[in-house]
Amino acid sequence: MQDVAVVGVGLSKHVSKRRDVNIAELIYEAVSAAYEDASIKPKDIDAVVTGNMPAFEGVNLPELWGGGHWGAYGKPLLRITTGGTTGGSVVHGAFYAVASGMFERVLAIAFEKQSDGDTTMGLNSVAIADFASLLHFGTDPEFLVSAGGGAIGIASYQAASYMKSSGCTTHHLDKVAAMCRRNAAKNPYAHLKQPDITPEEIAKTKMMQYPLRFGHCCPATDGACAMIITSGEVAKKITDGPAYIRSCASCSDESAVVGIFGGGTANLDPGGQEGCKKAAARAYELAGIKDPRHEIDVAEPYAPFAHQLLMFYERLLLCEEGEAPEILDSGSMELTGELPVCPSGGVISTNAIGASAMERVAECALQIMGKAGEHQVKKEVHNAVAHGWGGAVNLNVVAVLSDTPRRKS
Amino acid sequence: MIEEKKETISIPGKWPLDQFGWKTEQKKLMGKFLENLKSKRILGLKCPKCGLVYTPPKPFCRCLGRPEEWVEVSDKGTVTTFVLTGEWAFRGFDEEAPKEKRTIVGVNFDGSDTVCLAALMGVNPEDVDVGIRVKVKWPEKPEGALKDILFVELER
Repeated sequence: MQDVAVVGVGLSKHVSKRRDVNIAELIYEAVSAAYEDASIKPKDIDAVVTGNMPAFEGVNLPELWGGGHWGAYGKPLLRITTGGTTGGSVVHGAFYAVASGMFERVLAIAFEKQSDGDTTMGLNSVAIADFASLLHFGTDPEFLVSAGGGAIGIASYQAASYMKSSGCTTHHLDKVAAMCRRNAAKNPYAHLKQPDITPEEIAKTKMMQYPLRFGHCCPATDGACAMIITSGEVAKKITDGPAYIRSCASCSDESAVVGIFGGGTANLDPGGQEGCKKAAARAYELAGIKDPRHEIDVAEPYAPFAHQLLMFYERLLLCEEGEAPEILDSGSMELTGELPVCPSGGVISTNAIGASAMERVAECALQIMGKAGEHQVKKEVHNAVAHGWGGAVNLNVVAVLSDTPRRKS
Repeated sequence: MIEEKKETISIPGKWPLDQFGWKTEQKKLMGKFLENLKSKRILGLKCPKCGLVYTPPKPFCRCLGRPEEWVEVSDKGTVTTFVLTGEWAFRGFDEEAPKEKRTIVGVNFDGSDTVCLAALMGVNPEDVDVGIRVKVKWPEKPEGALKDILFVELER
């Protein structure tokens, strides 16, 4: 297996509605920035991996729109679509392509231009497998509507059970949101920047669905992310300080809350996220990380809703279960802390869905390369963990990045 | 130039949702499960390999075993998770229906290892929590459909 490294990262401007560009042009912003960052040209790229949720834009085959803009003509191309995890899965695809030795230089692209379509309608098309069968077997349609669909519906069930098991309070949710939005204010590519926001102000925002207030939820974003991923040998020629992707791991679990096609689901606790724990354990093992709590320097969990930052911090095995709220209170998760979490501002501040899980990896790479700018954490970063959550709310993807390649065993 | 419309429009028509339904194994399993609801009995399907009991039944276990043994489970259970919904949610597809807040809970019926969503009736939102005990509020004459077990109340 070859070593794999990130040598270039590019991000577009992220806002609610990018009316000034179309999908192809939006992605071009990220792609051209990545090429520039790596100081290489499209002709040097061997293959392209791209991903988004076409159901959210209502535009299929986006690669047909943009192949020319991305330097993809005449090259192998693979599109990957796995919901919220899409960007993380795209990184997996690029990682496999390089690690296998099949390709030396791969362009990875992930994006979402939500304002072009209707994301909730797209989510309905994802949920049709569960819902059509439940209706078929005699569930009241009115009940299904009231059972809380969409992302916030599923997040509310998760928050209720996580808060019960961990002792996390609504005040912790307020603190998480304020911390992330303040970090986002330092990130030029973040969407929702609130440099002076306080937990008290978050606590005054409108209740969306108990326990989640408006301030605890992510915005809907238009944005794109691109990365140049190469073999370790090529990386050494391009830059003195690449960020090595030491490992990728994922785990598909039963969906929580509603079983698919009317059958029961034994995934009893929507906050349990056993799949995340399994993926994290596998990723650390492959990466040669024996003690994640001490060896990981930065974490980018996928947290569109405030409780998820704490929940996934625990499920990424960075502390014991139920300890995360206390660790938040200690200040350890801040930019200046011992183990900064979501220095980018996180998904709660910027959520171009298909891009979000890749932007977690991109942020880890920037932190390791020391190129994060104003939101660069204060400590030295050797190892970082990036996470994505999605699929039919049942897939977790984890990547471990490092400033050194994996030791050969 | 084409004018950009801000409002949405409805197009009447029918969507053959049945095409998504199961045609073979799950259809048989669900048929037996639903038939038993008529006599107010909730069944589960047990995996011979790991022992997990699925209610409603399904042919594949998370351990990759094949659940096949029918067992009876209780109509009482424990709340595993919940949401408190606002007024907006409860009109369903009927614009004329009265607005009504509801509590939706995930119920782990005793004897099963799975979770079913149900509406918890006649309870103050403040009294809802993970771990409380509930039981099915059966209709007088169950129809043999999932809606027979969609409503639960506090176990007294």
